[in-house]
Amino acid sequence: MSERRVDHEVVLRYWGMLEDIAGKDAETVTIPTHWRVRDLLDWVGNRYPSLSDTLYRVAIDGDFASEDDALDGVREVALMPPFSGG
Amino acid sequence: MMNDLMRYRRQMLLPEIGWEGQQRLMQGHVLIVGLGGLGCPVAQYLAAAGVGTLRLVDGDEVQEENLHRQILFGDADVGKSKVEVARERLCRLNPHITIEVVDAYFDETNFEALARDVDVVVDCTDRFDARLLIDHACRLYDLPHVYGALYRWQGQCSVFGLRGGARYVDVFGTQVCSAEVPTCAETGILGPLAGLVASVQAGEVLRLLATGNSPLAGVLWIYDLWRHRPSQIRYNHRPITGNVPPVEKSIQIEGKRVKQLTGQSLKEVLSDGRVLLLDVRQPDELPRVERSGVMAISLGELPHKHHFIPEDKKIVPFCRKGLRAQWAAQWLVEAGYEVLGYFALESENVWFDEASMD
Repeated sequence: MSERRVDHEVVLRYWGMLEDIAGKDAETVTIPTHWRVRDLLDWVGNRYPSLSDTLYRVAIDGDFASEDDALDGVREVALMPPFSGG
Repeated sequence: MMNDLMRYRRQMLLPEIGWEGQQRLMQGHVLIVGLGGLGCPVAQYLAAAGVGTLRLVDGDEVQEENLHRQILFGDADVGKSKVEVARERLCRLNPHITIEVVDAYFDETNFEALARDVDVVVDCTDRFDARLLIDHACRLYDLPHVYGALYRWQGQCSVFGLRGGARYVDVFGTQVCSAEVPTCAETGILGPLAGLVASVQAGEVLRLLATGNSPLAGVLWIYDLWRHRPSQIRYNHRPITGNVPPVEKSIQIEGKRVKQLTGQSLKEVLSDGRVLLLDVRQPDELPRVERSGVMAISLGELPHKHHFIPEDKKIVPFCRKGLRAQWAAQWLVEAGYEVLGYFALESENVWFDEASMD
């Protein structure tokens, strides 16, 4: 029996200076359902190479995530850098 | 005493504060690090609410281009010490509280004395290295760290380390300094955004003192004032992933590239007799490197002790991982010294190989 692969949509949200690099504050992308956080990070790094020079954390649906977390059923992925201004 | 309490009556009407909560506010001792766009309103609200003792730390002077968001200061204050002006204003605002001021930056030389006897630390700085040091101090003395930070139209707030909860470096890692982002001076900042984030910080400080709890413990609160988009991200468990930039092998200072030296290039550099290796680690970090041509001045001590460096020397600062050496290089170049490069003890085993050094 072959594994059934379905794609689904997630909203990627770029906070802080990541918005300046991506040129947008959010976008909807279609990803394979079996993807984990690390797969999406690779994809983002390829799409916006300058993001690789930036420190940020990943959150899925309101929780900071680890790289093994599954994206199945996830609606929003936020990329969150620390801010420095005061 | 009754007269003192009259001014707090409207906040004491809140059942969550009440008479007992007000007593706790009046016994509270709060350290505010940084008196900028965040620190000014935080200090004003805490003073007005009757927090017993405020310790204000900032080594800067009032500058005209910051008046739009540092609303404790006015035109006539430009050029004066921020903490001294703040003391005068806050004493007038509420003469029943104690204001302690420290006209210095929060750094490796003073953080222990400044943090050890307070109840809460409010992080209102605009630098990653100071935020890391606040994290360190709060860990050392088991204090809650009320974090606030700004980027253009967006702000972040959180309460780190409450009763053993996750801390700043647990969320963002220790390498935030290598991800130096543009400052308010470069990107622009709107006063009311600073006021908004400062209000959230001040609210959490009052709640922590009065009740011991905060809903922002374990939660990063974020607000985008341009789009009016709020967000909250929980962080209390699991290792947090993301992207960490590669450790830079060179940095840009005043338009010039300053390189991280490898063992081989260090050897070449050392053949020049005018080179001084500057150990910017803390005095208790091992192994100590004692040979001719090496001088030890920790990063925090540089502004006070740099005059010990002979003027004709070309300097190569070093530390364990290279980060403090980068900051030292930056400081030295800006102070007019010639910096040939910097060095990380960990990066090259060759350092301990005497043959390669001679």
